[in-house]
Amino acid sequence: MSDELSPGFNDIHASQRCFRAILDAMSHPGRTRTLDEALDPPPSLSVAAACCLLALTDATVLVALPDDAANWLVFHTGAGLAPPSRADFIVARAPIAITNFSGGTDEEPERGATLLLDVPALDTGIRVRLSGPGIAGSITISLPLTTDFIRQWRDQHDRAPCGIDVILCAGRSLLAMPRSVMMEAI
Amino acid sequence: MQGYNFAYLDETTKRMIRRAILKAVAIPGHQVPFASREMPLPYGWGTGGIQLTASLIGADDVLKVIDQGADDTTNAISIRSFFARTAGVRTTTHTDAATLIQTRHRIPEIPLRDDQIIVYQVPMPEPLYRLEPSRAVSRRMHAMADYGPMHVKLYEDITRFGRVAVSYDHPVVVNRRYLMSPSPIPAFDNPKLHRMPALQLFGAGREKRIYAVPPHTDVVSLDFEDRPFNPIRAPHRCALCGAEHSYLDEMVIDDRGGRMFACSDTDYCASYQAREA
Repeated sequence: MSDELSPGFNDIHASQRCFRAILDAMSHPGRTRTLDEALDPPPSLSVAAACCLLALTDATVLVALPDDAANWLVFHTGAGLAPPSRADFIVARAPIAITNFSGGTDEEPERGATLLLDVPALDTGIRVRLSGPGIAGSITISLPLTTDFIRQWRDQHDRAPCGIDVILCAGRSLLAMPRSVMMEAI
Repeated sequence: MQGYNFAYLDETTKRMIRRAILKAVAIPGHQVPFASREMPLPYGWGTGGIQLTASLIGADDVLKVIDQGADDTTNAISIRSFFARTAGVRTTTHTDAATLIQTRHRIPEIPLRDDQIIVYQVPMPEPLYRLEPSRAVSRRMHAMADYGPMHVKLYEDITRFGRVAVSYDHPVVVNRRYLMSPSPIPAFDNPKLHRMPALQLFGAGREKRIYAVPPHTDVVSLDFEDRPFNPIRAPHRCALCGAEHSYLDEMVIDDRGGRMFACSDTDYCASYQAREA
């Protein structure tokens, strides 16, 4: 591991711009947003995932992320570290089992975790049809997910409003899937 | 402005509110608690809306603020100049020129777009408040989607008054799940909530709750099959612009019972007058 930590955001406006991009993505599931912040994050984080973490985490939240990025994030935002089952934000490099993450409770579903799925590319993989809040009718796109993940997503709907929300990150791009979105492989 | 952070709130507070907003969007209609701050104006003047706006706004945004549809009332002017001073952003009174619209109890007459966000000021976010005084119990009712008492309340209105006796803050169901207060907008505006292309965010400062309706989301006003939701509009034309379909304010204009009906949305009224002229 390098001794030197790369810088975080230059100013508060970077944080605001990233938040608005995330909000736009979360409000329009399937819509890809590109971030052009100047950032050189640790190798295990994409720029998009690093921007999400810098914009949204601080000492009041728990994060689970790769070891080589932990020092960097703790230095910049003071976020606490936790195992994935207790974390508010989880960074993963591939579609994984989401049933172990905190999904909140029926009374406090907002406590459900946010999964940052850091993948090589967004517009690749299996064809899925998305529908639900934020989408007029339905849209069909390719997502880098597995059929097993889609099955877990459907199971998650049986526990609604509990569940996790996903932000797919690749390079400088991100795309969000709030728990309310319905997804079927076609 | 010297001595203050951009848009007044400190960054830690904004981050906390931003996280709450994202969860609110992911769970349409669910009230997310947040650590509401004291603001330099009293509760009831839009502290929830202002905190949302402060957390959303960026240097490139163009802000419009309305109070009961009007751009030129004390509350609207104060909030607009608050952000002009603390964030240095451009402000406007034109609905179509705004990227961010903060509103007290109205939705603009012209349809909002996909690239706009509307922020509602909410005095009482809990739609079950008058039926169930305990917050712990009403939260449980939301968890179980136990909304029978609200239907009973509307039914009792019909048996006693012959109609549903609410003309504003008519309860809605969002995404077929959560019962939600649309804030005290007139029932006339309720249909605009349904599948609106703009993101709708609701902030209650005193009650410390944030909730949201994402774009294109189903929002249904509560009613019965044989008593469909039927919002009322004063059966007049606007005395200033002649508009026939806008929401009207009734104004007393003399001490002999004279009345005038005029558009509540001042920007709509002004643009209608300009077009007719």
